[in-house]
Amino acid sequence: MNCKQACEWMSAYFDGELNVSSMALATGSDRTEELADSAAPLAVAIREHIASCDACACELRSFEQIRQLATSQQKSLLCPPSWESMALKLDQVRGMALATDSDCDAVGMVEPAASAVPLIAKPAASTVPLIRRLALGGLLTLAASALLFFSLRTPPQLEGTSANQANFATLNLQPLIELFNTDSDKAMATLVSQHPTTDVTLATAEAEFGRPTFVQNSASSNSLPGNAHLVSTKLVQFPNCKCAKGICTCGPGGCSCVACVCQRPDGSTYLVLEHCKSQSVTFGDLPVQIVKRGDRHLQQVEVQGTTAISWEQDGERLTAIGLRGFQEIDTLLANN
Amino acid sequence: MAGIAESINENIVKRASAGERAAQRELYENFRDRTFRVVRRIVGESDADDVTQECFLKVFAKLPTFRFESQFSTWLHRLVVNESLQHLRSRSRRKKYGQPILDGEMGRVAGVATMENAELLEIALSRIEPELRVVFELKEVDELPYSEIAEIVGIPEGTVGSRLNRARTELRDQLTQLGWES
Repeated sequence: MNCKQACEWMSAYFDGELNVSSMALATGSDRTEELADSAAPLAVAIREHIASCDACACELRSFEQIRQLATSQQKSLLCPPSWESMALKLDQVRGMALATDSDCDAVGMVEPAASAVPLIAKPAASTVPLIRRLALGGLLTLAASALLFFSLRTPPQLEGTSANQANFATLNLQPLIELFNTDSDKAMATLVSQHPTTDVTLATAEAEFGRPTFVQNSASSNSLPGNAHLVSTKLVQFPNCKCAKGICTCGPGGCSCVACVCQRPDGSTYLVLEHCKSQSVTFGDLPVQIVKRGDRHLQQVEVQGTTAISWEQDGERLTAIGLRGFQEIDTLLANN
Repeated sequence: MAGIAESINENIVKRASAGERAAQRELYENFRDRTFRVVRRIVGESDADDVTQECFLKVFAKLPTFRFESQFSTWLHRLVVNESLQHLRSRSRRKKYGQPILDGEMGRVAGVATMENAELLEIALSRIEPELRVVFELKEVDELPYSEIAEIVGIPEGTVGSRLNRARTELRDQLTQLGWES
């Protein structure tokens, strides 16, 4: 065996895949008996060659080092899109398909959490023949997918960043929610360590934010949820704080998201984030419900007796962590 | 991976195929992490969210064509790889994925001294062909056998070995160029 032959089979040897089937497929041979006889000797021949050849031994070591590098990589901090986000996409496609399907009954936007709703739904009582419905459904699915595809491919031009940097960073709130419940100070310290953050006064926050913040509105009318008072205000830059003009309203000259910690009379706290609308959030592995309150759809999770909610409105996203009960939620919503 | 495959039974696939949202959610949540990882490796971070969702839109649309003649995970994985590669090919107008920040004269990535090995690998991977990245990812991260990689990518088993040979040697060369000290 020479180096060229050894290198040809190096990966298969390294991966323990030097077997009859791979050799058969690689060589195009169907003489399995001959291959069975030759597979083991081939492995032996490669092993013997490597033992006597520094270059090939070095090649094999580099394979092992690259494997160690690949498998020791830290898990990416980025998370896949949440199911809620996926469900909204499904509803969008379904909505677009149904809106153009003249054979369908008019169907409005369903609740995101609605179950048992086919991607391309047809009323059971429809008199349209099955084959036609299937064909039409398929065409509409393709058309809707194409529309969605092109709409997603052309993000708005960003300020100070390239277009393909948009929408890639989902903020996983699970660690913050869990830590906030047990140690709110530590949770805030972690938030500060992970994102560029500045402590500011409420007045500065308003100036940077470009309009009164929720907490400011509530504090001025003494209507913070849970009779709480404001204890800290921070300007935070979250991963998607590079919104295009008109996408978010959290700052006149750039994004200036606001994080406010409010303290109840019993000393407990909750956190309200007012951040960019384009900042998608996920709650990690926590069970999320989509709850409709008024005209808002909230992502809502319950953790150890407290509630975290997040929703979009008027060009921004609001997230509250550590709320207690519906009354606090309703007060929060009423102030926005 | 076997655990996931075993937990996805025919009933769930059929219910999801019929459009039942709870079953679609179960499929999504079982496969989203692995799908996202593969998509991200092929198309890069900036498009990973969108392409992952596109993949699942296509999965749900094509579920009625799944005949249970192969493992569901393999079928899904093949669709994800194809969709991601297709996306990459159609992205010609856009900036090339992971274009390295090269210091022209030195031919080294700026700030290499402070870069973690994981970052070096990310950059090195971005410099090799997508088809090589795919098989490398499926082997080294998902730890799939050649037979399954071949089925997912749609190539002969022997080609899996030769692509892995190229992927590993090209990665080693790129890593060395980046200043990797093995």
